[in-house]
Amino acid sequence: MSERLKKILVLLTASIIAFMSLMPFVWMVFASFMKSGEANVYPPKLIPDEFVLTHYITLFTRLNLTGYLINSLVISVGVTFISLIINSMSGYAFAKMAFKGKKQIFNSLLSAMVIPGQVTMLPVFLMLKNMGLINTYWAILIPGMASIFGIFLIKQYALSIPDSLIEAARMDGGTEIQIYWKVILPLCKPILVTLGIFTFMGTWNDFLWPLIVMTDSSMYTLPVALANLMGEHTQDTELMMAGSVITIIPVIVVFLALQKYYIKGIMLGSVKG
Amino acid sequence: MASVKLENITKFYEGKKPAVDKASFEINDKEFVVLVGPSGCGKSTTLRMIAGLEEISSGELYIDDRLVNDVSPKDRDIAMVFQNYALYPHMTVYENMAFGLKLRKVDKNEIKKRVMDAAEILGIVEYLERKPKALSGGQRQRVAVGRAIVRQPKVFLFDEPLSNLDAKLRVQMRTEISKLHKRLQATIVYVTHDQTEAMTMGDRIVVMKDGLIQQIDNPLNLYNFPTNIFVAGFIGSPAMNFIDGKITDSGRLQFVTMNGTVAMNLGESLSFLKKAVGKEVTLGIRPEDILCKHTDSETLQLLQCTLDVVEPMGNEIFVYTSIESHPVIARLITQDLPKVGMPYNLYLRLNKLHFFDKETGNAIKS
Amino acid sequence: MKAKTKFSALLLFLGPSLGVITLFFFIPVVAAFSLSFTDFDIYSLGSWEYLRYVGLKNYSDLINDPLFWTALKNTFYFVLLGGPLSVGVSLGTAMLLNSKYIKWKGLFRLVYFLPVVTTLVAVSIVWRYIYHPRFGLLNYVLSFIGVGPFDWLGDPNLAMPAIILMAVWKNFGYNMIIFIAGLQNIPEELYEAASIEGASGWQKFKSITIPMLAPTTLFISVITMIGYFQLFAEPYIMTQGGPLNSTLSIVYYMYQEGFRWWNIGYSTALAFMLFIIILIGTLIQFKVQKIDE
Repeated sequence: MSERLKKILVLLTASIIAFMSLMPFVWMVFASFMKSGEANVYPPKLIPDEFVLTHYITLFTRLNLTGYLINSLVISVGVTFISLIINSMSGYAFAKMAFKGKKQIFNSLLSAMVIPGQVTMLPVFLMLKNMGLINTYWAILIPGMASIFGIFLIKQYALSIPDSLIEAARMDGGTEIQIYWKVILPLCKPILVTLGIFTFMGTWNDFLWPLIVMTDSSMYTLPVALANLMGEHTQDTELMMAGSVITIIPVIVVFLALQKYYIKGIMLGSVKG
Repeated sequence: MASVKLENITKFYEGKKPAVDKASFEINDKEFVVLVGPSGCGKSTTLRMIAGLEEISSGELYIDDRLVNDVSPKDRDIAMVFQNYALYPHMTVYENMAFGLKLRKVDKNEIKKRVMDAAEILGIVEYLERKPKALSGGQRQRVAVGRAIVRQPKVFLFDEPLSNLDAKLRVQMRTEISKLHKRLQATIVYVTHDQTEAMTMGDRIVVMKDGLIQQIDNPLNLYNFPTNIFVAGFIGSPAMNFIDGKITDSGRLQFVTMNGTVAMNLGESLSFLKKAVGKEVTLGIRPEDILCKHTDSETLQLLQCTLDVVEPMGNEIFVYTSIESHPVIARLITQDLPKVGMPYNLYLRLNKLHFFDKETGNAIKS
Repeated sequence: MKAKTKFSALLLFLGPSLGVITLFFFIPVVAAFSLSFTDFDIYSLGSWEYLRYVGLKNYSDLINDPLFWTALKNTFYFVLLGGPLSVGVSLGTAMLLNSKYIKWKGLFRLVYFLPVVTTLVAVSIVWRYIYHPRFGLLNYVLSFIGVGPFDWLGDPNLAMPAIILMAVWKNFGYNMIIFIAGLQNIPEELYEAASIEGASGWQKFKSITIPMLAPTTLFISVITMIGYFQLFAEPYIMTQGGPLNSTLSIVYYMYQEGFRWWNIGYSTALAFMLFIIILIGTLIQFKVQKIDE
C-alpha cells in the first residue's frame, strides 16, 4: 500500500468515527429547534424547516427547568468546592505529614475503592432520612464532601512539592493552616483544577444518587428532571432534545474550556494501576 | 544577635546508630561557625535540629540561654537558607522576601523598607517583581539570602547554600556571604561538605564524621594541628600525604616505612615520639611541606624518588610519586620543570610532620 | 525523616475527610452487610421494632429468585460483550490516533471524547430516539444497505445489544486516552528493530504492541468491568428494564427492590452480591494477567 493511500485510509476511518461520535449530538441540537412533530417523520430530517425556540421556552416557563438548573448548579458547584478543600487538606496530610499508621490508613482507603458505591446507598439513605436531610441539598453535598480518589490524586501531586518549601514556610512563621493555604494550595492549582472538573462533571452527570435522595420534584437535579420528563413527554421528541441540550451544555462548556486538565487527570488516575 | 549552645545533642532514627551523637559546642554572638564533613556525617541533621525542623532525640539546645528543644521553628527567631533555595514558585521575589514578615504581621511600610534594604544589599532590586522561575541560580541564591535577612533573626542557618551553583559563582557568593556576615554582624551556622568553603568562611569550624564531632577549632589550627587522621585528610587541598610505618629506636629515634625502604631520623624536636616506639603509625605531610631544594634554615629529610606525573600550574608545580604504594603529592615552587620517570630528590620539613596512631587514628602529640 | 506532626494539625487536616469517609462509606458498608441479614422492609422503615434477624434468608431467597438470575445474566451479557467491545474500540481508535498518518489529531481526540463527558441521562434519551423503530436515524441509515427496520429497544433480543452499542459509543473515548498514553510509552526503537528483522504490521502489533500494553490493558479492563457491572441509567431511561426484563441489570433490580418496594434487607443482599461479583471479576483479571506473564 502506498503511503498516500494509507494516509487517506487512516483519515477516512478517523472521519467516519468522528461522524458517528458527533451525529447524535448534531441531531439532538437540530431536533431541539424543530417544530413539534417534525422530528417524528420518515425519512428523518436533519435540518429543521424553521428554527423555533418553542421547546426551550416551554421548558423554562411551564416545566420549571430553571429550578432544576439551579439545583444542579448549586449542588455541583457546592460539592466541587467543599470536596476540593477537604480532599486537598487530606491529600496534603498524607503526602507531607508524618504520623503513625499513615501507610496503613492510606492503603485501607485505597483498597476500599473496590467496593462499589451501590453497597452503601441504602444505609446512607436511611442515615440521611433519620437526619431529615432527604430532599435537601445536603443529601448530595455531605456524602460528596470527601472522595478517596480525590485524596489519592492530590496526594500523588503533593508528593512532588519539595519538603524544603514547607520547611521554609515553617521557618517564615507559617502555621499549618497558613502553610496549606498560602503555599500548598497555590502550588497544587493544576491538580485542583483537574480534580475540580472531575468532581463537577461527576456530580452534574450523576443520576442514581439524586434519583434516590431527591424525591420531591422541586429538588430534582437536571438529569433526574429530564428522566422524569421523559415519562410524561415520550412523544415530544423535540422537547426532550431541548432538555438534553440544556443538560449537556454546562459540562461541554467546562470540558472545552479546561480539557487539557481533564485529559491529564485521566492519565494521573490511570497511573495507580 | 545571639548565641547558640548545643549540649549532648543526639538524633537517632529507629533501629539505627545515631545520626548525630552527643554533639556539644557553642556558637558565640556574631560568630560564623561552619559545620563540615562528608555526606551522611550528621551536619545537616544538626543544623535542622537547631532550626527545629527535626526533633532532638536527647540533649539540650539553647538559643540565647533559652532552652528551645520544644519551641517550634517559627518561635525560635531564626532564619534558614536552603540548599535548593526553597523559594515559593508562585510568589514574586518581593513576595517571597516579604512572606515571613507578613505572617508575623509586620507593618506594611516596615516590610517594604526591610525588603528594599535587603534587595539593595544583595543587588536584586531590579528583579523584585519577577517570579523565581525567571531568575538565574545566583539570583535565586540572593533572594533566598534576602528572605533570611529581612527577618532580622537572631541566628542565620545556611544549609549547603552554594552547592547548586557553578564553580565560579560559588567563589563569588562565598566572599559575598562573608562580607554580609561582617556587615550584618550576624550569628551564622553554615553547613557545607566543601572544606574550602569551610576554611575560607568560618570563624570556627566543626568537623563531623559518622555523627561524631571530630574537632572544633579555627581554620588555621584545624589545618596545622588536626587531632586525627580524618581531619588531617579532610582539610586541605590537595590532601595531606599519608605514609604508614613504624617508630623504632635503635640508638636513634627513627620512622621506618612498612617495608623499610625509607628510614628517617627524627630530630630533637620530635623526641616525644619515644612513647610510640614499636607502634604502627601513619606519617602525614602536607604537599607544600615537601620541597625540591635543600635549604639550611630548617631541618629536612631527603626523599629519593621517581616522579610519576608532573603538573605545572604556573606559579607552582604538582609532582606525583609514591612511597611503598602510598601516593605522595608535592607542591613545589620552582621554575625548573622536573622530568617524569627521572630520579628526583624531595625534602620533607621535619617540623611539619604529623604522626597518627594507626590503630586509633588520633594524632600523637608532644 | 520529618518531625512528627502535631495531633491537632492532623485532626484539622485529616479529620473532615476521614470523618466523612468513615461516616458515609465505611460504617454504611458494615451497616449494609448487617442489614442484608435482616428483613428490613417498609414496615421497619416506619419503626425499627419490626426489624428481624433472618440469617441467610435474603441470600437463599436471591438464589431462588428467577428475576435475580435474569438480572445477573443480563448484567454479565452487558459486561462480557460490552466490556471487550469497548476496550477493543478504544485500542483501535488509540492506534488510529497514534498512527503517523493521522492529521488533526487533537481535533479527532476532542470529538471522540465528547460522548464521555456528556450526561448519561441526556444521551440515553437521545439514543432512545435514534433507536426509534419508525423514525429513528439508525434504521434510516441501515435502510440504505437494505437491512431492517428493527425494533431496537422493543425486541428482547435486540434491546441489550442496542444498549451495549450506545455504551461503547459513550465510553470508548475515555480508555482511548489511556491507551494513547500507553502507546506513546512504547519505545519507537522496538518497532524499528522489528522492522529490520522483517516483521509485518500484524506481527509487530501482536508481539510488541499487545505485550507492551498489557499493564495498561489490565487497568482499563478492570475499570471498564467495574463500571459496566454497575449498569443502571441506560436501561432505566431507555427500556425500564424491558422488554420482558431483557435489560434488567443487577443495580436496576437493587434499585427497584430497595427504593421502589423498600425491601431493604433483600436489596442490600443484592448489593453485596454485586460487590462479590466485581471482586471476583477483578481478581480473575489479575490472575489472567499473571499467567500471561
